[in-house]
Amino acid sequence: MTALMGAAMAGCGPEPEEETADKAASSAARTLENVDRSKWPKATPERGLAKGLTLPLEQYMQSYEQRVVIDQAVRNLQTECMAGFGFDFRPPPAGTTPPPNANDANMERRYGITDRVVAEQYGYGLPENGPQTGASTPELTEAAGMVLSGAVRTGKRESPAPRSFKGKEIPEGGCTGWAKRKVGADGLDFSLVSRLNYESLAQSQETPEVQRAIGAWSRCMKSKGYEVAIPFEAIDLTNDTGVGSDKAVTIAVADIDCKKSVDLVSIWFRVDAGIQSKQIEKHQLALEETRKKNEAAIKAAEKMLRG
Amino acid sequence: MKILGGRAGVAIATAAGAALTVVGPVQTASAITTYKVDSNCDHKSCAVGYSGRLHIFYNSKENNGYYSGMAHFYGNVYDYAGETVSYNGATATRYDYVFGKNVLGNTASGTGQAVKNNAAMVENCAPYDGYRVYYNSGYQGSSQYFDHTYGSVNCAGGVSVNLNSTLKNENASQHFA
Repeated sequence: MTALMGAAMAGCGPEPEEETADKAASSAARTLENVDRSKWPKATPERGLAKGLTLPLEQYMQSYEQRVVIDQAVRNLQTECMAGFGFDFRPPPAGTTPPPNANDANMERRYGITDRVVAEQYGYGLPENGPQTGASTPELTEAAGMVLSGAVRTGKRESPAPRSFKGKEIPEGGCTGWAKRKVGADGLDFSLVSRLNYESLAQSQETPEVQRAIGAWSRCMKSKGYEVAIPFEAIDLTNDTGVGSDKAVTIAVADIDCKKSVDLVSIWFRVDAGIQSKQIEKHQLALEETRKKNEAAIKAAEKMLRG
Repeated sequence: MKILGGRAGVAIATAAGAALTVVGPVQTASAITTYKVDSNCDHKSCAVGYSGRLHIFYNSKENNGYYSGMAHFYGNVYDYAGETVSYNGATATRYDYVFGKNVLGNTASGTGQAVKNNAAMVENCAPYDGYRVYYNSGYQGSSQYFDHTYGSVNCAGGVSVNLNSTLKNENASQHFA
């Protein structure tokens, strides 16, 4: 009894027999085995002008795959914790609504579009089929929502949940707070690397070297009949027909061919990477700290998913 | 139905499942009706209520952004400037994305201003879907990730985060992540 009390006090400490039964019941939903990974973005572009390019700051970012692993582990723990309060909580599997790029750097389209295979078919569009809908959300009763989030939301106001539900103490931040802490996902903050990554692109764009390359690209586009100053604006040439039209395909292919002929992506990448190396020197401690926290969380999450 | 450039969200149910085609204002300038809207859910199918949407605010956190003009979008948005749709190639409708009223339903700073040049802060209210904001239209340029609410609905547990830079000069975009 003392042990059980202790577990309850600590949050949602799983009672062994419950955990086993629960695992058997929904093991399929609790791993990432059934998720379609074919739509997940590659860590580094495998095609086109950005093929194989990785910027220095990317080592400090969280990739899509890493985030999915952490998300799934948190969801499993939420289910476990909610079961301890008598709720059957079944979140959808993680990894079902992937972005086109693996991290903030967005190498695929960081300097505009770069993949001719995609451009030949989709113009400036993405190879996505069908309506893009989000993950389905299970209905939650008011009580379940309170135990999950540790907060009560009435209209626009949010207030903390009561300390306990049916005699059992609700962990700080609810089952979500408990699950995130257990994985080590609660303290993850990638805002510094995200901001630096934004700044290096903006700064690199203003350098004489990149400006020259952009000028050369713009002249190349003009020789093909298109008036456009910078790569990000080429897409606006498709405003009258849409980004996936035949006209857009022609422009997108010209855009990429011009980038290739003036070496735009390589030049821009080199300047961008140079700026990032200096940023890393200046912010190394903070960046390393985040990376270590991220690695620890991934390790913990992977261990949990292995069961 | 023609789906352009991954803007697949245009798949709204029209009564007869009519074809939707995105066309530009030039072709059908005479027939275009323009609306200023603070959401893409007026002309697309969105999750019920506010669930699942990315909320975009005119002001930053430091400037009381939560109570500034707000816009909210569901799913993938190719261009925060807005979009033009036409049904069966007939009358085209243009939706310009602007900030609406604030969370309290009052006119606030930014209300009526274009989203594309003015967004400063974001709150992801989706229970399970992350979002990425791109600093250029068509998912180009650098991007920034916004975490979901870990299952909470009505945005409980939602976190307001400043954009790395206020959107300016370039039209931005958003994608599920």
